[in-house]
Amino acid sequence: MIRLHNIERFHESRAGRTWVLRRITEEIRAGEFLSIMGPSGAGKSTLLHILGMLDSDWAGEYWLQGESVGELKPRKRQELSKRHIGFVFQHYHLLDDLTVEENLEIPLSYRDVPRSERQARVADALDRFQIVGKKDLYPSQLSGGQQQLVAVARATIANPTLILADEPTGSLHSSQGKMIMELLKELNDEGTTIIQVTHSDENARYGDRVMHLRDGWMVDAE
Amino acid sequence: MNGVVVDLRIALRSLLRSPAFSLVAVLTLALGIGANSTLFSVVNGVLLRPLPYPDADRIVRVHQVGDEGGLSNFSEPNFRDLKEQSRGFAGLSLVTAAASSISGGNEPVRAVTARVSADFLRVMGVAPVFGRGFLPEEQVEGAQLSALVGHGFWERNLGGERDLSRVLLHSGEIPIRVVGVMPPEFDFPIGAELWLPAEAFPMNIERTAHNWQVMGRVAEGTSLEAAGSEASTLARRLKEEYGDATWMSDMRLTPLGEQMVGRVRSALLILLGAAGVLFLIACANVTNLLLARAEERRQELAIRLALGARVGRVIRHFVAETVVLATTSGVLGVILALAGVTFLVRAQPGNLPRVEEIGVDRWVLLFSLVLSLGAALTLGVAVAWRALKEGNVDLAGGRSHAGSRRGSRVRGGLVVSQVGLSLVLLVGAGLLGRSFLNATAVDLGFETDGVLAMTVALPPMGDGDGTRLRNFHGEVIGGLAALPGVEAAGGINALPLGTSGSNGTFFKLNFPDEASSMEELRALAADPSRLGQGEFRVATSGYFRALSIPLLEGRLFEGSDGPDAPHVAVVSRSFAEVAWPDESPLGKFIQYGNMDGDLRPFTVVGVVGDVREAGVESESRPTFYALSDQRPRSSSAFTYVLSAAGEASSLAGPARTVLAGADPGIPGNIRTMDQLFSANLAERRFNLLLLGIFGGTALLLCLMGIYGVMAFGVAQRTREIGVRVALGAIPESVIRMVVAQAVTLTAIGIALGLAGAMALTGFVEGFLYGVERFDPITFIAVPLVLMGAAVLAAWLPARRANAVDPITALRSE
Repeated sequence: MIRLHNIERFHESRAGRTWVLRRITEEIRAGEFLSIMGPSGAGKSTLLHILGMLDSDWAGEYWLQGESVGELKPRKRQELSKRHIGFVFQHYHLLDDLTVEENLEIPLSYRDVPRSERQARVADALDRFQIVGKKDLYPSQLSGGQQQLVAVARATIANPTLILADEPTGSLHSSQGKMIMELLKELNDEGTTIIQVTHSDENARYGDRVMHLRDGWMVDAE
Repeated sequence: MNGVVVDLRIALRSLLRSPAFSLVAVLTLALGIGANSTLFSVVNGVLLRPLPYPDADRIVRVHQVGDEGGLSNFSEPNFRDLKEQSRGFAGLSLVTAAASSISGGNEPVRAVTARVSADFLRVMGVAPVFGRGFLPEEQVEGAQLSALVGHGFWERNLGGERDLSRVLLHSGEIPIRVVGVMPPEFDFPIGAELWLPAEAFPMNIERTAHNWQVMGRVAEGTSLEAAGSEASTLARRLKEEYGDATWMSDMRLTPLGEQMVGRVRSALLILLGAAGVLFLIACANVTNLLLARAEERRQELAIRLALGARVGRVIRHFVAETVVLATTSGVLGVILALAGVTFLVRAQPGNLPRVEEIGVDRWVLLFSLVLSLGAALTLGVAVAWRALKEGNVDLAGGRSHAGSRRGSRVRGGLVVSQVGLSLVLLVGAGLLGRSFLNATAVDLGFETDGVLAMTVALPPMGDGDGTRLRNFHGEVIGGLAALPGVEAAGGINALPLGTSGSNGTFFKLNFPDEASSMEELRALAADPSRLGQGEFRVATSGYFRALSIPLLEGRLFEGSDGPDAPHVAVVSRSFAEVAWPDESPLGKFIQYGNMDGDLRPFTVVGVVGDVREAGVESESRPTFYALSDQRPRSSSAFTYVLSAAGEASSLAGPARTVLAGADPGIPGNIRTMDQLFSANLAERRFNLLLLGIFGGTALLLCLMGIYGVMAFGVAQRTREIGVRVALGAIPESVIRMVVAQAVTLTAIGIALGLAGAMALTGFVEGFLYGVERFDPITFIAVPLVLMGAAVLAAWLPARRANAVDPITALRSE
């Protein structure tokens, strides 16, 4: 599903070039659950952002579903991202001014899904994640776990083949974190490819394998 | 469409969740939109709306043009030649108007009464709403007077009587039959309520007279230029034929619309421009608010992009917010405009044409809508573009509120532009303010304190020698002088600052009987050294005392100057200097019979101080005063004046009683001279008031902008400030750092504003009085005020910065 070859990323400054990622070469198969681990500053989130096409300032080759991302124009790249990728962030990043229902609807509206279908899919998601009773609440009215639950629901609502999760339990206490991880595992079991960044060995165990990064280098892959 | 509605709904909700931001933004924009909609209402009503006459663009005012290019009214013979010999007009009409005392309605009233010649209705393209126009037999000299009356006059004074045969008005003892009622919207000449046939009155056969406006309707198929060219050719031919017997050497056509509003056009457009500048300042302020909000919502923007939003959708989201803001502001702005128009119509100086057509109509609503949506689109797209250019937020980093250096530069730039634009407005207001002060400090040549003026329109008294008029004046002035508290009473036919008087050529005589006929007078005109130009007034002796006009030489009128005594005159100092530069004017002889038809010569007996006749800002003109007892025929319009030891206005009631005692059918128009003086400055005060309001509002918005940017900067730099304090920064240095930034931005704005003001003050140069457009006091004081205010606006955020607790600040990161 994903093939990376010599992916590199650096920042230029007056002091010179600061490397963030060095020669990352990796292949991730469809249906895998990969955990990326490493100390702070290792380049985990940067790699996740490159995979999610939020960052386009890199060198190397990145293939997603057979398409060379680096050769795509921004618009095509965004279309590819919208077709395949869903995001889960550590800090949930729900939109404060929108209700739960509207937050779920947002990715669909950005994909020009017709209104009636949007409503049906939002209703399904609310059912599936058992948050029907919360649909008219605002994020500030939810607990952290509930917010992340909505964030996962939002990430899946457009039926992505790949979910990128950046420390999805980082802001949650353990029982909430467990619930979210089990949810991600369930999605993975249904065929969705999951790539998560995590500091937690326990969370990493939900996945199939772990990629370790240190100072931008991939040190090994289990 | 549904998506747009959803975006708007979400935008509304989002704005409601930030009530302080929304309120400030909406009110700021509403101020800008309200000011512009108000001024546009005036410009629309006065300048843009078509005149209520069919093919109004074909209606023209025709002027005589003198040898030196000056425009003047027409003489009857020149008009007659124009009418008979031109082919380019479908109609031409004489028009003049003056206040008259009219009785026969509910009560005696002063009404502006126009005299109009045949063709008037055809020229204006109107017809009475009922009744009829003048019949040919009513348009001959000596015919019994018939009148068309205005719709308002008919309703107010005639009780809306539909059977006009039952109505008979009187001007003094002269009966006037009402034959028709004009349409409600008809208002020409402005303020006229009665129209009489000009032909019913004796005509003046002098070609040098200039008593009549001429209105014409250019014929179908003839261009304005062609009609003007034909008129010019005719004028040159008449000049060749009549030489000095006519002052006309050319004619000029001015479209009616231009004629009515040309005088106020530039002032209104300048005020609209000032409102436009205010709108720009308001937009800059709101842009700053929106940018600050966008800065705080960068993370939301990043999430939306991460969720797949296209640039277009992001822009739509921003625009939805600005649309909600701007349309709310637009609605508020229209409400402000409704109040503003009411205020303006009340505050306007009284000479604004078409004032009854000023209002908030569909065009004003459309203007407000365009302004609102224009602002919404521009601000929304600009802020979205800016936010998108700011780049992505690191979504892994949580709720970072770190601002960008580039964003702060943009906000600083907006503050600079606000300061610059505000300075332009404030310099304009400052220059007008200084002009106003100069105008109020003018020496008028007479006292206004404690002086009451009562103007009457005297009807023809019906006797040949003026005895009744003399007696009437005597009775009124005697009655006024006898009122308790009155120090002096008198009268004049044209009061300074009030009504305009007549002027013309006077003839210096070597001996009293040198020119005792019009032919001899014309012969004398061949010698330019015997001629001069002056204002011709008819006054009583008490007039000079009541207004404290100083006697400089000789004497005033005395009791011995009776009707049958040699006619005497008092002249102003400048008249004496013009007529007899190196000699005493006393005992000199003047022939001025061309003004009133009385060829008895005058002997100059006194010299009085100069008076600003035509207005506060008009220089004194050489003025000649005849005695009303000796020249009663020119006294049909007359103003009685009295000076009182106390408050002049308290004598209004007693003065009215005195007038009613002399003739209950003659109403008086009573004002204090202070009111007249104030009214004379009304136009200047009005312009100053509006520009002052705009300047003050601009200053307020500008200070809000400076405050907002400084406060936002302090909030963003809390950590930096905390570090500085932790490293030992002293309080003064933190305050100095914040204030210095405000001073720098303000200084740049002032520099740019000064350049702009220097370029733009040319537009207000025509409105300045006693002050240069580059007046150093204004150009120094305004920047100082602006800088002082900016320092104050920055002081509060600076104090807040100074109060930053380093531990809290560092922990907040």
